[in-house]
Amino acid sequence: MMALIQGVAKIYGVLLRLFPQDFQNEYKEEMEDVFTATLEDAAETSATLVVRAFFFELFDLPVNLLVEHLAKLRKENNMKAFSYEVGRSRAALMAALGMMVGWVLMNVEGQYFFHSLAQLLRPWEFDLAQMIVYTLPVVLCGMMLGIAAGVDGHAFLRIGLWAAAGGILGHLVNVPIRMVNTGILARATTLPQWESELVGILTLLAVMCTYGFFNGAGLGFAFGGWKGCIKFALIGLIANAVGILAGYFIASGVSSRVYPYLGFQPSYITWSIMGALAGGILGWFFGKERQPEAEIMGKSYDRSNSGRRQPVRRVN
Amino acid sequence: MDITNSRDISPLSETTLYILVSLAHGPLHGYAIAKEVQAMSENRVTLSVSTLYTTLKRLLEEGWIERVGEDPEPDDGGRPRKIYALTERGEFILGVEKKRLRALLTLVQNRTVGEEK
Repeated sequence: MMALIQGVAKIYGVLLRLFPQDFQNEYKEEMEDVFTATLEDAAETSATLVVRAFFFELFDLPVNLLVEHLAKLRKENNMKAFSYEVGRSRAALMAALGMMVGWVLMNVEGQYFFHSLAQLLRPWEFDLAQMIVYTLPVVLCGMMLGIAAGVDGHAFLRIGLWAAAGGILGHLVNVPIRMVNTGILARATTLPQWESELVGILTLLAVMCTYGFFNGAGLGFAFGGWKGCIKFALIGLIANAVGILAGYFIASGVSSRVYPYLGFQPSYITWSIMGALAGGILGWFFGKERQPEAEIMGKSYDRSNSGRRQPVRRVN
Repeated sequence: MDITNSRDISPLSETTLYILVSLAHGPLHGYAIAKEVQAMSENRVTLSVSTLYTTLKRLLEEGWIERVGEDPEPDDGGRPRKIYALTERGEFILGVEKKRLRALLTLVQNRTVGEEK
């Protein structure tokens, strides 16, 4: 029985690490002690009660984690916790990679899985699955920007939350746009090929620019509060527009060369180029080159040695 | 007391109310609060450890409770346990809630006279 209690308490201790750091510093030890006492109490009756006590805690934990993280976010003055000023090239590369992977996944899901998913899932489940997949690129892009900025674990949650919020909002706003697009595209099938292709790219632009606007807003807010939100909403829109257009023409050239060898039109090449360009542009604006000192999550980093960043003591 | 409008703090959530009531008879440590709440509610309310501590944290921040020291010799011989007690502000809030509940009970009783038979 002792082994069971110790094992369960250890798992609980690990789960408590999901709480914000300041909460852990203040309450983690106490919570572990109280939980162990609860388990010992339960063990006096039966082992089943020990397991039940653990699951009771487990089910209650997510809500409390959310409450604490949200409380922390509120405390940090509208998320203005760190500057979005990170090295330009690093941010551009990382964001490009994140967005590229996200857009390719979005394309692959759309092409290969959504048709079968539509038959398997109920309409609302299908809509939810679609929303998650279309939110993925901005979350990935945000995570990569977070890595570029060298933020800590809790900041990733914050970035993920606001990036996802931006993505979801963009997806919801896109619902009527998509409906209009479907009608336009249906009519465009009777047009000559180049006109039909033009309509296709314009409808795609409308959808992706909407995503870009809200994705940029979400990321901008996570990194730089309201000021960043407005600035990066516009940058996001432009980044997606340029990414889609430039990516489309570049990819047309690439795929026309690759197509004869492959025997099929690889749309993921188009999407990876478009995603890399859109993410790269977004990341480029997030970065600021040759900054001597970047303040990230309350820590100062000395970049004068142009290598690894060394934390420096802040002098007030 | 700087609370000008009791509507700002009342009604309290069930968890908050139970925790404040459990501390009304004297300071207790976290585990004792959980046990007291369970006993008071006749096993109807069981607080998970995470709910207990997120609520205690909020009450500490609001200044409704305070830490008054540590249990020097815990029963299990483990780490000393932190002890929590109601503050003057907490007592005031509990009083406000008591008045509200009493008024509510009176209202229900007056409106349902004769219906119980």
